[in-house]
Amino acid sequence: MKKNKLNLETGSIKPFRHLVLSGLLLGACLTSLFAKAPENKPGQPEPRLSGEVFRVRTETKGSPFFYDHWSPGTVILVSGAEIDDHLLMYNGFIDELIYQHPRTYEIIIADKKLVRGFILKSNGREDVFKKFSHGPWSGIFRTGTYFRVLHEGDISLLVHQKVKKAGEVAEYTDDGPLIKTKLEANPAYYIVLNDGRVFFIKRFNRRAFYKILPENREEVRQAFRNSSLRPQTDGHRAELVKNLDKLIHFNLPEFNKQLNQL
Amino acid sequence: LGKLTANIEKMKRILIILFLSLLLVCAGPLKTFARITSFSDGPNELIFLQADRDIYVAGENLFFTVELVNYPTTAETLSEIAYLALRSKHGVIERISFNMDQNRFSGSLYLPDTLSTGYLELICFTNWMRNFDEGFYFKKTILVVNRFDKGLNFIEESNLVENQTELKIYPESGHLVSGISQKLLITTWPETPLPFGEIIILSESGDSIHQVTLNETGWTTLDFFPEPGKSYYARIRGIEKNFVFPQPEFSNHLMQISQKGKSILIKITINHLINETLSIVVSRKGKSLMEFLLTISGLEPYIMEIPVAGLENGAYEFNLIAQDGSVRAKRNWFLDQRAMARLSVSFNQPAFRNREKVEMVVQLEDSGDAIDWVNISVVNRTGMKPQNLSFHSFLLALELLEDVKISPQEAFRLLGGLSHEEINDLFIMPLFPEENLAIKSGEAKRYYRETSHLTLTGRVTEVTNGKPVNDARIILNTPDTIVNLLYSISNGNGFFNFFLDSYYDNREVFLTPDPGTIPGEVKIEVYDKFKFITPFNPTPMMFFPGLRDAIKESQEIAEINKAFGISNTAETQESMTPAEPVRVFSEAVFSINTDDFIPLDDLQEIAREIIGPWRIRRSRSRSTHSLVSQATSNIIDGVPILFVDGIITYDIEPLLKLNSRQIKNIQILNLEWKHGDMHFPGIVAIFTRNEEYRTLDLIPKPVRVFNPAHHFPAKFISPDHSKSASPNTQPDLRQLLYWYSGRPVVQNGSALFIWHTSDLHMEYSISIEGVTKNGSVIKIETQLVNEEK
Repeated sequence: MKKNKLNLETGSIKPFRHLVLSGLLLGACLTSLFAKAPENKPGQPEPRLSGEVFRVRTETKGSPFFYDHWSPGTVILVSGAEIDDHLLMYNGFIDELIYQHPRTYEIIIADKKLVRGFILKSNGREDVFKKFSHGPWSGIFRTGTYFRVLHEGDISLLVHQKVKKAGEVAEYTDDGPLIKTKLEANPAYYIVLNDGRVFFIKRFNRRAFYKILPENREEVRQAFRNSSLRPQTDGHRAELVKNLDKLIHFNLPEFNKQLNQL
Repeated sequence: LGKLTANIEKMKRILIILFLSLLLVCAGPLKTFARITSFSDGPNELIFLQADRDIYVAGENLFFTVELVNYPTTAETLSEIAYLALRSKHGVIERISFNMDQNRFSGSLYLPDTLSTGYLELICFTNWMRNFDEGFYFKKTILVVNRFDKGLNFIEESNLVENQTELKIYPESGHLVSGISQKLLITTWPETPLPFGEIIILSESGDSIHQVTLNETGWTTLDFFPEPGKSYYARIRGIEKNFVFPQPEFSNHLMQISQKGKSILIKITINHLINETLSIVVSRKGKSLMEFLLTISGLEPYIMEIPVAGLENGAYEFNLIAQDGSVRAKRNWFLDQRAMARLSVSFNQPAFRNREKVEMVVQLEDSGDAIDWVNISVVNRTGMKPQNLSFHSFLLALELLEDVKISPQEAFRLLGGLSHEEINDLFIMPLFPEENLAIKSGEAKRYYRETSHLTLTGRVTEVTNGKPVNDARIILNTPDTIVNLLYSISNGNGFFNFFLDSYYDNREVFLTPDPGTIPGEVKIEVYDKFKFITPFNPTPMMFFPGLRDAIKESQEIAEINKAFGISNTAETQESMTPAEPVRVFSEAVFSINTDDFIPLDDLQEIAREIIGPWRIRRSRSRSTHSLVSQATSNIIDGVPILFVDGIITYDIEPLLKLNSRQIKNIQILNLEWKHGDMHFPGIVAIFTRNEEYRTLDLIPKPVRVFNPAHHFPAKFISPDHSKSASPNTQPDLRQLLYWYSGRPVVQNGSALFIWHTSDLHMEYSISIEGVTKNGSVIKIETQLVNEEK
């Protein structure tokens, strides 16, 4: 992981200026929409994000963020309201959603208990993060951790995009030697079955899945044959679980219904 | 010279009389109703309300159905929330709001049994309609009689004929043509309406020729044959005054119009031998659409047929014009080509006795069509006016709004309840104004179309000069044990809007201006949705003989039902779970219960002794406070924002006197915090034991408004007497036997409706209205007789 400055003050966002500008443009469009006469806007409230203004300056080696840049995205509040005019980052080291205030450019840690999930949109990709502290999985994930959803179905694949401290490194700067925290990505994958069972999965091989689904060995074999035999990327892993989901027929509609309401 | 001066004086007098007459003629129709020029800027939605009756006894339920329709164009979204007010001359008595389902709602309104006898008005509207003239609201007058009003003096008072009543006579084609039978419109409407007035037509010798009774609105028609050379006059029974007929003309044309299938028939009859070329000009909204030349010779009537295909529904003007340009005859005609559904209604037996099961089958004749939705009411006839506005006539009136250029409210009052034929009878009189009077200024729209949330709209102005304040942040809180907050920014006109979900139902809300966004002292005004500009001036209903006994019977029924506690309603379940509040923060950094500590005398002492990060400094002039940041351990720049029982406040001074006995809990969020655009240099939330916010002089002073919840009205239920176990100990005295609104289950083109008769022996009127899937109008009126056992 490359060297990164976890400097979140307003003045240090120059590398993201193009994103800020596009965000501003988006904001301007939205503002103009909202400024129209009432007839064009049926009675809907404008949801708002809350959070702590973040002014702490730290320097690390390695990025704590899922994407190393601001991404436009959507935040879903626990009320179900959606906010989509903010630039977002996910910090895996502290497991927090960070947003940039669209007008003041302040960096803010979103109040986690008021957020249900969020979507980061980057380079045509959409990464969905959900916090499973509500609904049928609330007993499983009590901590309110943000999980990236790779596949959601009767068999779901979630990943906690953790970033861990891997030590400290000394670097020589113009101001003299500096001790920096070394950060490393440490994702943790979970298979969640529709009956509520959760399995931590370290390796994506047949043996691991045979243990999780001992009665569906044939389906596991077939899913591996249909997918990449050794899934190395998240895309491959998601595809494998998706295939498995198609092949195995579960019979727990009520649980699914609850799951879909998340 | 003296003679000349006298002549000039005479001429002057004539001119003045002529001028005044002209003024009267012009002002007559204008003064009674407001006219509007165009509906293109109208609300795009109009509302119709059908109540089960017109006359009620206080303590009864009024059942109603509401339909929201597009007019004149299709809006992208229609409102989903509507309001209903019940008001007297003195003010609003009941106010409810409700969510509509597919633009429809059916419910009930309880008429308090403390109401005194008098006329009340139902007003139905949407928030969006508030942007426009109140003429767009739906209004309906009802009569409520108190249970203990045994005198019922209002009946005599209402039936008094007033001496200033004016009667006008309009011949069918503009002139009274002698020697030909023609239709006359005899009317006291619109200037001095005399419903049910008795009119006697007399010849010049004083012989009575005809006797007619005016309808409920105060007009009627009469087929009349004026003899050549004779003149006529009319009298109103009870008034010593003659109303002179127009003089029959010896040589003129009679133009009669009728509609036959897909054609309009124009019949021109003359009473003298002539050979003449004329033209018929058909126009609409002042624009000439077509012209036909015709030559009339001899005494034979000339008949012409115009196909209506391609013509829109609406009001047309037909003028018979001579070659010299003079108008020989004119007639207005309402063209209505809407398809009426053909259907049959059958019952399981021809007549019914007490508590018998009624099975009514409604069958569409067109097998390729089906009933889409239908409203059915089976109600005691004595509780209804003879002419009642139905959904069908509401739609008819809608067709005419723009042509006749009267406000919807007036159109429904005047034209609603009339059939196509009756409207064309009324169209004998000139309804098309020469000049239009706009009633709506081009004011900016300020009220939202409500779909999912109730809105609260207000305005913020400077106290010193009344100028609107732009960009003021108005904060809305409701007292609670959590810190909740909404805010709205005022626009250039000072208007602000809040969208309130079910969390705010039946709660007081407090509006506080953010001092950092206002120029000085400001005034916040909240617009009351139920404040009406137009006063309620009821026109007394005219009553028919026997009504007194019918009302007395209704009073007895209401009394018995009251004694037995019978309402024939079932409460609907409030299935909606209250929405979550919009929280400023989810969890405080510190939460201190004062009960855990020894009693302390004031807030400064509490902060000093038990809340480390909160610093309060008092001086003679003013007190300040600050918070030490949990994140940096430094004092946060700026003054922390205070909340008392959930209500924001910006000055600590009035709170300093609060002590441990008054304060239950204090929550501290000693972090720099953001909520939307609002910046909080820390938050201190104080929760008291006994709603101290009510007595504290918070600065700035918030404006307090109550936000009533949606109405979940009781639905009508018809008792099921078929159950053998049904006890016979409770009377069943219902004026309303059945009330249905919705999409019925249709099998093989027929729908079955079941109810039971009551213990009352009276005539019930069955009204079936609705629309088929193919868009045809369903309208049937029939009767059901509940015979004595």
